[in-house]
Amino acid sequence: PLLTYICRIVRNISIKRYHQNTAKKRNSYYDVALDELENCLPSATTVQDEVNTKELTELFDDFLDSLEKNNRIMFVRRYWFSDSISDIAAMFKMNNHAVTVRLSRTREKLRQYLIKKGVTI
Amino acid sequence: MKREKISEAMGNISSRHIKEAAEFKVEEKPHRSKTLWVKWVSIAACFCLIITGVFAAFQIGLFDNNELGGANSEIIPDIDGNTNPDIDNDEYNNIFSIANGSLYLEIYDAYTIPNEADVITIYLIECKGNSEVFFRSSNKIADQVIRRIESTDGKQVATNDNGVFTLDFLEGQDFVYLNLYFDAGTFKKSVEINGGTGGNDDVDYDPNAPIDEDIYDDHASSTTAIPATVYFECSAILPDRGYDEIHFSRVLSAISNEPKVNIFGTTDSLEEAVNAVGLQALLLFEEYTPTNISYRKTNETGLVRYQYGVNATVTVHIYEYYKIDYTLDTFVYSTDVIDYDLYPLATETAREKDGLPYSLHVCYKNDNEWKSEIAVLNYTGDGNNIFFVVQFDLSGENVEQDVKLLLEQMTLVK
Repeated sequence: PLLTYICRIVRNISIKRYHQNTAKKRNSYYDVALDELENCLPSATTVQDEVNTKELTELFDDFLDSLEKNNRIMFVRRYWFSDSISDIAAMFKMNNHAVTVRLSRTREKLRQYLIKKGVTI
Repeated sequence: MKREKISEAMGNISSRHIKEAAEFKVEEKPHRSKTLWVKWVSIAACFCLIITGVFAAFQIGLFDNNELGGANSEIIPDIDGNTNPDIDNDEYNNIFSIANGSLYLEIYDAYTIPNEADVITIYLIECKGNSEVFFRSSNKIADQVIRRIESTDGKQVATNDNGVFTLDFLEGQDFVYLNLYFDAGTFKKSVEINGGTGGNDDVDYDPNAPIDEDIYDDHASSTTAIPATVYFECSAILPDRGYDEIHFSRVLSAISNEPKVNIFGTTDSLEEAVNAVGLQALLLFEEYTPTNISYRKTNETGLVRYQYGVNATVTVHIYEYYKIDYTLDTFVYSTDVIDYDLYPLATETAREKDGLPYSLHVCYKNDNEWKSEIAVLNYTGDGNNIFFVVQFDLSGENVEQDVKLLLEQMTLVK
């Protein structure tokens, strides 16, 4: 529990600090990772269609549970820890391309999962 | 808003997932050393296999001084006087097997052979039982072009009846290969394979009958599907259009409803490659769903070039082009099919004309006989999908503009 608690604090502080420092700039690891995730998710046509944040979190959790362990960890390292592709590749002893492909497939799975659940953001 | 929501939702995922990812380390696979005796037994087994293989090869005469038929085959000089038939094993990818049936090879004009005589391809045909192979050409040019068709046993195919070559096989004959030679300066022909294995009774071949383009119908009428693929190819050399060569080919599985399509060629830029692929696919197929577009940079000719390819799953629409008699005010079409192969030059987006949405494809026909510019007019609407072709003389300097102008003035007569 302590480890995850510290991780959460570090992440939140980092994101806050990042927003203060970079204002409108893009292309950090965080933004790039967020872009990837954003682009794969289905968009709502009206405000009423939108799912709320809490529901989305639950769906993310369920989706992660359905993944194979390595893919799940890779996904969390990328989109929670905002690790770079190179770092993840080194961590898994894989090449960058393989990691990119795996993440891409997982994102597509997520997209299909959300569509199946009728979720738009 | 979307970004913030995703970021927040992702940030709040369950601690168990974060813990798992934070503590993750790649598990080293234990290195398993093979037991020594397993290794030695494997080596010994391989050695025995090699010895047996070599012995068997000598027994069946594989090392006799003959490439195809073994010791008893006679070596026949080929058309250039060579005693060694110039057969590239790589070309044996066109292998067909027929049994008690017939195989039609239909020949279409594709492009002009620039410099020297060419062997278009070699077909290796496995015949079981009583089988026949027919060659026929789509027009009268082919019979002047094909100089010889030969089989592996040295037989030169003798029958040439108005462009239809008939090859009769004896029962029990195994493999026959067919070389098609074409003279320089003539049209190189693509060969399309049609066939069926319904038995000799099903042979219903009329050389004067119009060519049936719909290969699927042909196979549907066969009692047994043959394991053949259909290879269709056409090329265009269009230097004035910016293409050194556009080469289009498709390999269709004869019994599949969703054939794979391969389009490939070379060009000087990636944009050109992608455009060429898209343009051709747009023209030639009703539905175009590329699953993969790739390109490869090559430097084989001293120029930086891109080799492009696209794999697509498509629904093939067999176009029928009709001759259109037209005036500036009106045009009517006859039911005479005039051609099937066209090369795209330009396209225009769909617009309303005569109350029907339509798209216009202006195409260049690289054909020395016709010397023509061809426009394809595609009308869609009211559940119809009709394609018309208008043929124009190439003598004008600005043919493409002329075509567009004429089409604008035309009125559809139903």
